[in-house]
Amino acid sequence: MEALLMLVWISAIVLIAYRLFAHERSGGQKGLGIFAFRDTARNRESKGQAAKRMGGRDA
Amino acid sequence: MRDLLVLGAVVAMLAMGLRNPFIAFLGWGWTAVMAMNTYVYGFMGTVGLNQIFAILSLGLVLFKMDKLSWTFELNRTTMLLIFFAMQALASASFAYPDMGRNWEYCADLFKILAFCLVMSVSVSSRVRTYVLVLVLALGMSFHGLLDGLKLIASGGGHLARGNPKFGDNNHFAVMLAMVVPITYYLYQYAESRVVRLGSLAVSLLVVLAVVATHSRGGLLCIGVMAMGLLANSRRKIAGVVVVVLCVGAVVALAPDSWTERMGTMKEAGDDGSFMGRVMAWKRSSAMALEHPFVGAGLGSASERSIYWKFASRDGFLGFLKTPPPDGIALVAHSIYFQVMGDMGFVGFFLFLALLGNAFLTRIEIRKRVKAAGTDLAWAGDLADMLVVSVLAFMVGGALVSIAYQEFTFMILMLLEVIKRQVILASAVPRATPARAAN
Repeated sequence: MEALLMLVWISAIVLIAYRLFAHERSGGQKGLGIFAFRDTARNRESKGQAAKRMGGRDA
Repeated sequence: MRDLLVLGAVVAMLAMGLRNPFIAFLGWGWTAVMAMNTYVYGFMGTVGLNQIFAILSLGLVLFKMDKLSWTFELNRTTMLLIFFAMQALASASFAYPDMGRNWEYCADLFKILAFCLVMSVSVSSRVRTYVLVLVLALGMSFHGLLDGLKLIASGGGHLARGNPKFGDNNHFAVMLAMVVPITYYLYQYAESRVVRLGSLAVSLLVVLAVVATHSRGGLLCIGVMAMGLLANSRRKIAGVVVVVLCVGAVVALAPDSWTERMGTMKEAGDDGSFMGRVMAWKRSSAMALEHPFVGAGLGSASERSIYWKFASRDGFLGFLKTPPPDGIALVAHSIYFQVMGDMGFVGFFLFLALLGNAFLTRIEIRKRVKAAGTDLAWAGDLADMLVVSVLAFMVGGALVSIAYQEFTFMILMLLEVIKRQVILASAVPRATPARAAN
C-alpha cells in the first residue's frame, strides 16, 4: 500500500515539475494540464463568472 | 523497487533542473518535506537527495541561470530570518560543551535560511507559487495518508506512532494539521476535478491521521484549524454543518481509548504528562534566565547533563507546583520554551517576531488585494490559509518541540513572496485576468 502511494505521489510530483518545465519553456503557451488552477476560488465564483470561465476554457 | 522509483524521479528532476533552476528548487523543497530516505530500504537510503538539489539550486541561482527570477530584496521577513539564524549561530558558539546536536540544529537552521532566501528570488509568479504549494502539500501530506487509510481500515483502532522525520505522535500530529489548510486551498483553486477531489480526500485523510495519533495537542490543532477555515469561509453556516458532521464522524470512528484520552484535557492539573511539560518549561525558562542573550545552546533540553543542572530550578514558573524531577522527559515540550532555553530571550523574541510577522504580512496582502479587486483574490486566499497553518503551529507547538521544522519557515517566507507578487501586480495597470497556466 505504501509503495503504491509512493508511486502515485512521486509520479505526480515529477509530472507537476515536467508541466511547469514545459510551460516556462514554451513562454507560457503550454498549460499545466491536469494541475491547472483557477482564477477564482470555487466558493467565490458567481454564476456569470462560471459561465464565462466555461466559455473561455472550451473556446 | 522503491529505490529505483526514487532514483528515476530524482534523475528526471535533475535533468529538468539543469535547464530550469526552479525545478531544482522544487526538488529541494520536495526532498526536504517528504524525506524520501525514510521510505526506501536500499541504496537510495544513504544518498543525500536534499543536499544534491540544494547545491544544484543554490549554484544555479548564484550564477543567475534563472531568467525568470527576481533580484534579491532585503525585506522584513528575510531580515528576521537572517537575524534568527545569526542568533542560532551565536547560541551554538556559546553553548555548554559536549552538546550532541547543537551544531546539527544550527546547520539545519542555516539550510532552512538558504532555502527561504532562494525562495525569495525564485518564486516570482503565480504559476510558480501554485506549483510550489502543490509540491509542498503533496510532500507533507504523504506522511499522513497511510495512517489515515489505516485508521479507516481498522475501524478506528489504528494508532499512529509518529514518523522518523517529525518525531513522536504529538510532533507528527501538529505537523500534519498544518498541511490541511493548504490542501483545502488546492481544493478551492484546482481546475481539474481529479486534483480538486484528490485534495479534499487528502485533507480528510490527514485529519484522520491526526486523530490516529491520539495526540491531544493534535486535536487542539485541528480545532484551531477548523475555526480558522470557518472564519475565512464565505459560507459559514454550511461550514459549521460540515465541521459538526466531521466531529460526529470522528467521534463515531474513534475507539473508546481515544475518547478517554481526549477527555483528560479537562484535568490537566492532575495529569502526569502535563505536569512533565510544566517541569520542562521550568527548566527552559531557568536556562534563559541564566543565559538571557544566547541561551544554553541548540537542543539543550535533550542533554542529560544540562537537564540535571537545571532540574531543580523553577525559572519564572515557580508559582506552579510540580513533582520532583525524574530524569525521563528530555524534551522542551513547547516551541516557545524550546527556543527560549536554546537561544535565550533574544532568540525567543526573534522567534515571536517571525511568527507575528506572518500575521502582519497577511494584513498587508489583504489590503492590497482589496484595492486590486478579484484579480488578486488567489493571493488573499492563499495568505489566509497559510496564516491558519501558522496559527495551528503556534497553538499545537505550545505543547511540543518542533520549533526548527523547516515547513513552518517555508510558510513564513511564502507569505513574503506572495506579498511581493501582490505589490508588483497592483503596481501595474489592470489587464484581463492572466490565464497563462490554464
